[in-house]
Amino acid sequence: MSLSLDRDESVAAVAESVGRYCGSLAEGAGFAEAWRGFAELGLFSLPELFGDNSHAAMVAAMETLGRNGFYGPVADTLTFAACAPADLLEPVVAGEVVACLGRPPLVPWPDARAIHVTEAGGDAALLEVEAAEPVAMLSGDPWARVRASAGRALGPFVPWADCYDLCVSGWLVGAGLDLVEAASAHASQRVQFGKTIGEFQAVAAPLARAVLALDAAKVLAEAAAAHLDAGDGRLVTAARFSAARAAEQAAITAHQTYGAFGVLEGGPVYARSRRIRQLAAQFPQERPVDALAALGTGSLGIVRAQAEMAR
Amino acid sequence: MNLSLSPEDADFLAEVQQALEPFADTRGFVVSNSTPELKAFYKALAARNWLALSWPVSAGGMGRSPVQEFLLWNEAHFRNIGRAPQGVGVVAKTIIRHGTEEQKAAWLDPIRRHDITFALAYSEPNAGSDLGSLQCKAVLEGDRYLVTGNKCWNSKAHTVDYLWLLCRTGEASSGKKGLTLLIVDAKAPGVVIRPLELMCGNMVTEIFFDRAEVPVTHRIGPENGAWRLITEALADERYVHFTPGRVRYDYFTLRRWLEEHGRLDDPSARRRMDELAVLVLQAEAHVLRLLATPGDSSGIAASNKLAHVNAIQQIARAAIALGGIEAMELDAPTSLHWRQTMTESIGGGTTEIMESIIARQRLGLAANR
Ligand SMILES: Cc1cc2nc3c(=O)[nH]c(=O)nc-3n(C[C@H](O)[C@H](O)[C@H](O)COP(=O)(O)OP(=O)(O)OC[C@H]3O[C@@H](n4cnc5c(N)ncnc54)[C@H](O)[C@@H]3O)c2cc1C
Repeated sequence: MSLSLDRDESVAAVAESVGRYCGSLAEGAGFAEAWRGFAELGLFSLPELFGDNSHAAMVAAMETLGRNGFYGPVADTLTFAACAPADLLEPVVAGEVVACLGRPPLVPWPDARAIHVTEAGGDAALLEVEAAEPVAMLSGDPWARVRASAGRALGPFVPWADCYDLCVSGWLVGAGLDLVEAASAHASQRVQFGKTIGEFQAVAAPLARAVLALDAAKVLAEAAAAHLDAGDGRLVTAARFSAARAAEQAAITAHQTYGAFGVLEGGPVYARSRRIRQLAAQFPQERPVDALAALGTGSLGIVRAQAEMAR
Repeated sequence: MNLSLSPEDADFLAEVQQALEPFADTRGFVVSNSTPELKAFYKALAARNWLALSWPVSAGGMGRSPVQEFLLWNEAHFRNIGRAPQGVGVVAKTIIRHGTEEQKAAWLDPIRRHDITFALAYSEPNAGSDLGSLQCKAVLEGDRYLVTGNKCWNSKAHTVDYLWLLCRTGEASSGKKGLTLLIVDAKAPGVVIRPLELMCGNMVTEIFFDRAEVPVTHRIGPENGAWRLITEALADERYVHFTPGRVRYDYFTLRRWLEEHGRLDDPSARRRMDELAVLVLQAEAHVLRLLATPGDSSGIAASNKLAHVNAIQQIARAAIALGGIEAMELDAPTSLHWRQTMTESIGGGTTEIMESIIARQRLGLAANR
């Protein structure tokens, strides 16, 4: 089989149906309603449905959500659905509760019915939240400063972090691409000095650099997911690093391309740029990239790993 | 090279430091627009006639040098107090240079006493970087102009008494040659001002004029001759608005924050802070170039703005990167600076426009237009 970056048909179908659902969500639809809809669509059953191919499917779904500006704790909830023991899954997969990863004292989604997971001594563990005080955060999502302790252990944390990193990478790539494409559309319409501003190299070049980084980040995220599905997680941290930097650069470039309109509170960029920024610091944070493991020692990195796996 | 302050300047700086101490952390850059605290600060400066520090004595000012004016505002920024009000800079200095004797008598005293305030009404929905294409129109009828059109992004305009309006009196196609400056009563019939919130919580506005009446005596400078007046004033103002004191304040705020949160011990954080310190010094270097270069300095003014904005944005981005999740609290100084500094590469002329000015003036390139 020759090299191809096309998604498998079933994975492409996931992206398409998530996209269709996002498009059908009425303007101002409430979070709870949207969340239930995603559950009905089968979003939180992806790990179960896709089994060996589930990271690729999750990345595709997350990228579509990023493109459509929907966040909520989907990355966390998908990670939970992929990694938590079977007896905890039902309400999460049904969309009745959200699952969140967090490290006290600051944790997201302080809803009493949310399931919180943390990391303790290298293991994932349920978090028993005793008291919570709401905190306004940059991302705009509900957060709280909590008193909490680790409860039931849920196995090694590495698979959780891997899955979360890939989901977040997908979202960041989608959000970044959407911002850059929207900013480029603005640049091809907005006229100053008798020209569309996209004709000025000072506007065009940063957009080009942003999309260059995002296009690479997309391939890395999808490749890292494919490798992880095949049991090799060595590209995961590089994928997240690449997606985070690319999305951040895209956000800054979009702010700048839109001029004053781009820095309005309700403007076309801030809702996404604030999340992109916070995701870099949110638990589970980016892990250091192990350069040698990610690069390998042969003449290729991404492709090499595939060849190795085929063996 | 002489890098020391003269004895008079050093004495003045000491006096400024003492006078400004009670107003530290008025937070004029972020969150607040025109708070009572900021007003009290301006009033305290007015009581010393420092709002008119560099105006000529004949105009009611103190005739001090740009260096002293810089020292005053640099100190105000370093103490997180706030920027100079628009009236005392762009507006008053233009009236001093180009106003009639009657206009000087009418406007300058209330401005330096901070009894009246101004907002700049230049930008329009379709004319931002390309200000010369603005379309808001003023038509002379008898002894008054009738103004019709829109403005936007005007800092604090919903809180001020007067608008410093740049409008078109020439043909629609007259470009920079058909523009005129008018002073418009912000509460006049036919003027509607609506606030818009920026991502940092600060307010700008959109303004709608519908045949608003402006007495012809409120025109500053010649009809169709405003372009030279405003470019001269904008460059003039950059050492007052974009000071290294602000950069230094942001730097030390981050340093303190990292220290308090036990993150400064991390060697990579320390290295990043050392690199950022160099940007603080670079911002200072550019303002020194500006102060040491009399005459047409729009190229250096652009360099100063660019170095300033680059430094505060890098500091804000490092804050978020080094600070972890605690740095993401919406109103933590770290996240506030990130949100606020994002607006600085747009307001007062965008980074791309500053770069093209430098390319043209410093390197002789025909950049961008
Ligand atoms: C915080 C803030 C305060 C402000 N306060 C005031 C105020 O008090 N009064 C007032 O009148 N206005 C004010 N403004 C408006 C400000 O002056 C304009 O936003 C600015 O001039 C840019 O115009 P624009 O937003 O229309 O962007 P555009 O001009 O549409 O620019 C969009 C992008 O295109 C780029 N671009 C445009 N032309 C070129 C070119 N020739 N070469 C390269 N790149 C180019 C720009 O750099 C920018 O990245 C404020 C803006 C902000 C953000």
